[in-house]
Amino acid sequence: MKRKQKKNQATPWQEIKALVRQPEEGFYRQPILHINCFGQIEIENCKQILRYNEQEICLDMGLWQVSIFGDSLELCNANKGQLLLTGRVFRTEFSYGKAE
Amino acid sequence: MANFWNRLFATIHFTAQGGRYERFLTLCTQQGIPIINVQPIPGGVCATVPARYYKQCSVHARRCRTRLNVTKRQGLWFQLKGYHGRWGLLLGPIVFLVSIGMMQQMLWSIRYDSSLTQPQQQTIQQLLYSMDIYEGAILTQEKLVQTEKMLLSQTAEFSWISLNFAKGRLVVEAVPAANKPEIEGNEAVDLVAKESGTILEINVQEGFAVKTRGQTVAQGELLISAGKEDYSKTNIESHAKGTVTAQVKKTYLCTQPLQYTALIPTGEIEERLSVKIGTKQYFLQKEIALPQSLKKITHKQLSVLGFCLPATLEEEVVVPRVQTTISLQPKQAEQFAKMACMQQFYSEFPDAQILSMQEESTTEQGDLTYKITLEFIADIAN
Repeated sequence: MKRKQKKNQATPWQEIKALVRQPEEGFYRQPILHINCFGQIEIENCKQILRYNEQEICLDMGLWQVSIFGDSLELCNANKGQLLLTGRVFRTEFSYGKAE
Repeated sequence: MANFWNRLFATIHFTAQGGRYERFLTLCTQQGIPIINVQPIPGGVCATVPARYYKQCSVHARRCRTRLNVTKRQGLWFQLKGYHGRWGLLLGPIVFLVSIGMMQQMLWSIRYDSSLTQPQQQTIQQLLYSMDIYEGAILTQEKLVQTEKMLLSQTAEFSWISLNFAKGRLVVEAVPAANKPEIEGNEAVDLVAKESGTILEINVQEGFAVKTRGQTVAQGELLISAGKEDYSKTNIESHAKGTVTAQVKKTYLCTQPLQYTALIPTGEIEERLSVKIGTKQYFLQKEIALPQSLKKITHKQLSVLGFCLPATLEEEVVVPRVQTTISLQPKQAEQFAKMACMQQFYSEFPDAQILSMQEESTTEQGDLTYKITLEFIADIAN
């Protein structure tokens, strides 16, 4: 039993290495959708905006397409890799795009 | 604060309509153009972008066949659009402020303590000008200390003078000297007659009277003695003091030429202005080279609408004079001669009381000889 424990136990060097390890490649480029229940939606790494009008915004998130329906939808900030959407959201739809 | 920054930096509010405006937004975000406040409008969106990114936006809009329309320009850059290319208007105030900061060591104005009277202020001002301290001069602490010492040594009118220089203003504080009582000498000196005459009254305050009332004395004769021997032949010394009033008869003679040459002002006045700044003097007019002319220099503080400038305006007034031959009538010449004689008389006997006078004048070879014999009562003790 004691020998098995020694085999599984990481060396101090490995522990230090694990502490400073980098995330997987492309981790920060993954599309992410944060929904704040106070009416603020943060979208990261959106591929493109497919539709945008007063009632709907449709975003291409890579594998998925996200459609957000609501009222007074406003893009407060549109920066590289990040969109900040505010307004009254009524409904959200997810659909598969190219992958399906 | 955010509103302030928004107003400071140039931003453009625009509408993007028609074509694939969603694609336009995607391209803008992918290129890192910071678009804010994107709001949907019929057939497009309206948004705000920093002015420096607008050109890039228009390139993307063309690719997406979207029409951009600027609705509002905001920011200091657009507010100052009328001044683009007129950098002098901006540089002027900056240069002005920098130059004012650099000129803090220059003297901008001289102020006097309120306790000083106008004549005292003028006396100090003249002394300061003579020591090269004027509006526009560059002052140092050493120079001020040196000037204080020189002022005190050159004038006995003040017992204490202080020059306080701060932020271009020189404040002069001074305490006028108290009048010193005249201390009489205590040395043993005899009083003698400065003119021949008959003594009317003797008032001896100190010393020993040698003459009495009614006696006639000659010029230089002893009137009041400062020393006297006592019974043991010891000389008793004292400071002779007193008045000896006598009736005197004296003749004054004056010769006045009927024709003489003198420098007479022509009636014209020439002015030459110059501005003194720092150690330099800038003449606004050419030099006036007029020999035998009277010159008077006045200094004025240079100011614009009551705002003092660190410069002194020096005004040189030149009164040209010419050599002119003056001819006098015998009566005029007599008046001149009489005035000269009377001036001489009153300088010798200021408290004299004239009893009678005899005048006589003769003209010989263009000269008038005036003779006046005065009989008067005066103090002759000297």
